Amino acid sequence: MIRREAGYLVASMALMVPWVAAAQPAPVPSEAAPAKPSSPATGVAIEPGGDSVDQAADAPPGATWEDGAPTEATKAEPPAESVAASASVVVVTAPANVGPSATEEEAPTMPTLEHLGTYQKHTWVGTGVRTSYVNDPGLDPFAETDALVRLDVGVGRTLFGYRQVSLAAVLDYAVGGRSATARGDATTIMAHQITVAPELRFHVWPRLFVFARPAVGAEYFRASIEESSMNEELLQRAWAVAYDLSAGAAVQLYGKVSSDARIPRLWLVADGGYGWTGRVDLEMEANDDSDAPARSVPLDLGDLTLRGPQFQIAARLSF
Amino acid sequence: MRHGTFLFCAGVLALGCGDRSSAWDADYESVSAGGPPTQGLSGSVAVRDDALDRLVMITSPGGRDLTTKALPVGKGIVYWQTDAKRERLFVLSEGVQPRRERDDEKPSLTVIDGGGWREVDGRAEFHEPSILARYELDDPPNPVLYLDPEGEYAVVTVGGGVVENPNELLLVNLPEDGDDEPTIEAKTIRSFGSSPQAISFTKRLRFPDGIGRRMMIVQTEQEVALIDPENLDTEITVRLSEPLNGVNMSSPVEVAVHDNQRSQFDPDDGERFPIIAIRLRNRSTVPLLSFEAAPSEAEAGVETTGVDFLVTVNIAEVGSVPSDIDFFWTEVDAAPALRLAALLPNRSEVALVNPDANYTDYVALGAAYDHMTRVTDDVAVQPLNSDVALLTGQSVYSVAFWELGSTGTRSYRSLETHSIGIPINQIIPITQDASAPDGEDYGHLKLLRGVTASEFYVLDLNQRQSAPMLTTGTSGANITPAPDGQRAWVSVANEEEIASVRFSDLHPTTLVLERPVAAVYDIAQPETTHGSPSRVAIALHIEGASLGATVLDARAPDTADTRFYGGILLGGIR
Repeated sequence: MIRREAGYLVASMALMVPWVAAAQPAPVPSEAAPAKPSSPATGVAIEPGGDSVDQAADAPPGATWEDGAPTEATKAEPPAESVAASASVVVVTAPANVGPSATEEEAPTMPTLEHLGTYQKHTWVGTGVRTSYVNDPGLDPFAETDALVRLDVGVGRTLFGYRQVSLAAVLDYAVGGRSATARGDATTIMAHQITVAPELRFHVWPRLFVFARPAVGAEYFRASIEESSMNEELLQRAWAVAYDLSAGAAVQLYGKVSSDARIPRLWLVADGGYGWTGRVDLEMEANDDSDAPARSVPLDLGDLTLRGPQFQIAARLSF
Repeated sequence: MRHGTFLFCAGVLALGCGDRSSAWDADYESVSAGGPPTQGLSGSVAVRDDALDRLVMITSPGGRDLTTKALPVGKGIVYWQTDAKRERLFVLSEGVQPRRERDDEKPSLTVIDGGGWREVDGRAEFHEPSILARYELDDPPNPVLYLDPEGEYAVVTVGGGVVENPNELLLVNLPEDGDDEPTIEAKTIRSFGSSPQAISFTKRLRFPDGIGRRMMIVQTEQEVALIDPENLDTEITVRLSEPLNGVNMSSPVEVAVHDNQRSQFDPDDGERFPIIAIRLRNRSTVPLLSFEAAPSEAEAGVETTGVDFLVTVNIAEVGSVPSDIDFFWTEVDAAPALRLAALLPNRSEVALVNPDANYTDYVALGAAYDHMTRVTDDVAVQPLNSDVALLTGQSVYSVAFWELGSTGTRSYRSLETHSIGIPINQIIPITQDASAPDGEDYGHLKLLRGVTASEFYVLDLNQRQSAPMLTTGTSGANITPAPDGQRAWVSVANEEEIASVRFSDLHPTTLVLERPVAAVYDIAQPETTHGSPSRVAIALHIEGASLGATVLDARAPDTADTRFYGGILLGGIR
C-alpha cells in the first residue's frame, strides 16, 4: 500500500516536470538591471515606490520581455546623456530614432517588489494533489495506510495589494478517498471538502511569493462496507465542519514577465499545514430499499475525524 | 534543487507510511479443531476469533440490545470448553511454537468468567465477562481438558515434545474469583506401562482415617488411580493388568463412586465409607473397592501411598458384560440399602449387587436397555429410602421407569415401560441456573433423542408421559435447553428456521429468520421484569468472513420483534 501512496506522489511530482522543464531560467529585473523602458513619448517620471505601482499599471504597454529576456529593442542602450537617474526618480528620455515607435510597440512594465502589478493582482484557477496524514483509527477500516490523497481544485482572486503584501480570497474543493478490506469485507470512503479562505501573500520576489491560508468549510463523508453477514452494503453519509491551516510558496513557471498585462501565468504551488474535521460517527446503515434484515442495527465502526498534517502540490494558472 | 526535491518527496512519503492495525487484514478463520466455533454460557455467548487470538463475548444489557467485549486468549487455541454450570470458559493455547525469543508467548490455559447471573450473598447479580486467570505452561497442551464439576480443579496434559511423559498431569487450582493466586502443580501418576485415558473428580468423601477428601480418579489402559488433589502424595492405584483375587482383569471403561452415606443410618451401627466400582471392557466381572479402618496393608494389585487405611478389592461376577453401572439405593426391611446396578443388555436384565455380601440379584427388564440415569431428585414423589432410575437403550423403542425398593419377593418396587417412537441415545436434562424464575422448575422433564430420528421426545417423569416433537427433515437438529430451564431451542445448521419449545405447555413456536442460522443461544440480561431476569435468544449467522446475530425475546419469541446485528467481529479492533 505504501507503494500505491508513493505512486500517487511520484505521479503528482511527474505532472510538475513538464512545467518545470518549460520554465526557462531567466534573469529577473533588479536594481542593477537595465533601466526599465518607459513611455518614450511622454517621458513620464516613475517613482519605483509608493503610488507608482498604480501609475505603472495604467501606463501603455511598451516593449515586451519574453520569459524575462529582453527583446532586441530593449537591449539597445539609450545614450548615456539622455538618461538621468537619481535614487528616487528615474527620468528617461527616449532617443529620437531608437526603438519601436509608440504606435508599433509600447514598453513593458517590468515587475519589481514595489511594482508587482498583475503578478500580485490577478485571478487564478488551480488544481493539485493533496496528501493528508490521518492518524485516526477511524480511517483504519477504510485504508491500509494513513495517507488520504485528494484532488484539489481552487479558484481565487486578489482583493487587495500593498507593496509586497496582498490578500486574496480562495474557494477550494478537494475530493478523494480510499478503499480497503476490513476483515474480508470491502470498504470505501470518499471525502469531499469545500472551503473558503483568505490567502495572505508576501512576494519575496516577483515570481515567488509565500502565503498563509486559514480555511474554513465543510466536509462530506461517504463511507461504505460490504458486510457479509447481512450481504448488504452499509453506508454512512455525514457532514462535518472542516478547518485547514496551511502555508506555502508559489513560484512562477511560465508566463511573460510583465507587471501590467493580464497575461496567463503558470505557477507551481507547494504548501503544507494541518487539517481538522469534526468528528463523525461511523454508524453504518443499510439503505432503506435494501434487502437487509428487518430492524438491522447500524454497524458501529467507531468515529472518524480527518485530522492531521497535509501537503499539497498544485499548479495555478493566473490571469 | 535536486536535494530539495528529494527531501520533499521523502517527507511526503513518510507521511503516508502509517499502517493500520494488522487486525483489519485478518480474515475470520473458520474453526476446524479444538471445539465448536461458538459456546453458550449462562449470560453470554462466546465466539472464537482465532485470527486475532481472542474470544468475542456477546452479552445483552437489556431489550434487544447486544454488546460485545473482546477478551484476549493465548495464540493458537487447541481446545476450549465451558464448565458444567456454563459460567466459565477454559481455553488451552499452544502459544508461539517453537519459541525463539523471550517475548514469544508460552502455552497457556486461560480461565474466563462468562458473566451472567451469579448468587452473591443470597442475591442474584449480573456480571460482565472477564478473564479470571491465566496459567502459563512449559509445553504445548494436548487438546483435552478435564474439569472438576464442582469448579475447584482442572487437569491439563502436555505433549508433543521429543520426549514426553504421558503420565504427567498438571493440576490447576482454579480461583473462586480473579483475586485468588493461580497455582498449578505437576503430578506424575504411578504407572505400570500405561497412560491416562480419562479423569474425573469425586465429591468430598469421608475415609477411614477420618479425613474428608475429594479424589481425582485417573483411568489408564490398565489401572485406576485415586489421587487426593489437595495432597498429591496421597495415591491409591488399582492394577488391573494383573489378576485380582485370581480373576483376570481388563481395561477400565467406567468408574462409579458412592459415598455410602444416608441420613437414616444410625452412627452407632458403625461408620460407612465410600465404595467404588470399576466397569471393565468386555468383562462380566466388576471390581469393587472398599475402605476399612485398619493399618495400611499392601493387597495384591493395590498400591497405596500416603493413606493410613486398608483398601480392599472384591470381585463381583454379574453374569454378562454390563453396558452401564451405578450405585442405587434400594430398600431392604424398610431401610435403605446400597446396591450396585449393572445393566446387562445381552440378557435384558439388570444385576443388583450387594457390595457388603457380594450377592447378586437380577431383575428382568424385558428389553435390552443399555443406559440408566438416576432421576430420584427430579420426580415429584420421591421414595423415602430408594432411588428411581430411567432406563433407555439405543436399540429399544421404549423407556422404563424403574423404582427400586422391594415388594414381597421382588427386589424392586416397580418397572414401568412406555413405548416411544425412536431408540434413545441421548438424554438431555433440564437444569436451572440462578436466573430461573421462582416456582417454574421443569427438572422433571427430559429431552430424549436418537441418532438419526427426525423427532425428539419430551419425557415427563411425573406424569410418566412422553410427548413427541416432530422436526421435519431436521434429523441433525441442535437441541439446546435454555439455562433457566424454561424452554429449548431447536435449530438446524444453515437453515433459516428455528423453533422454541416452551416447557410450561410444550408449545412449539417456529421462527423463520432472515439469514441461515449457525446456532441459537439463550442468555440472561441484567434487566428484570416483574422481579425476575429477562432473557434474549441470540441466533448466530456465520456468513463467509463475518458474524451476525438476530436477537429475539426468548420468553415470547416473535419475528416481528427482532433486531439484527451484522459485523460483530469487526468490533473491538481499534
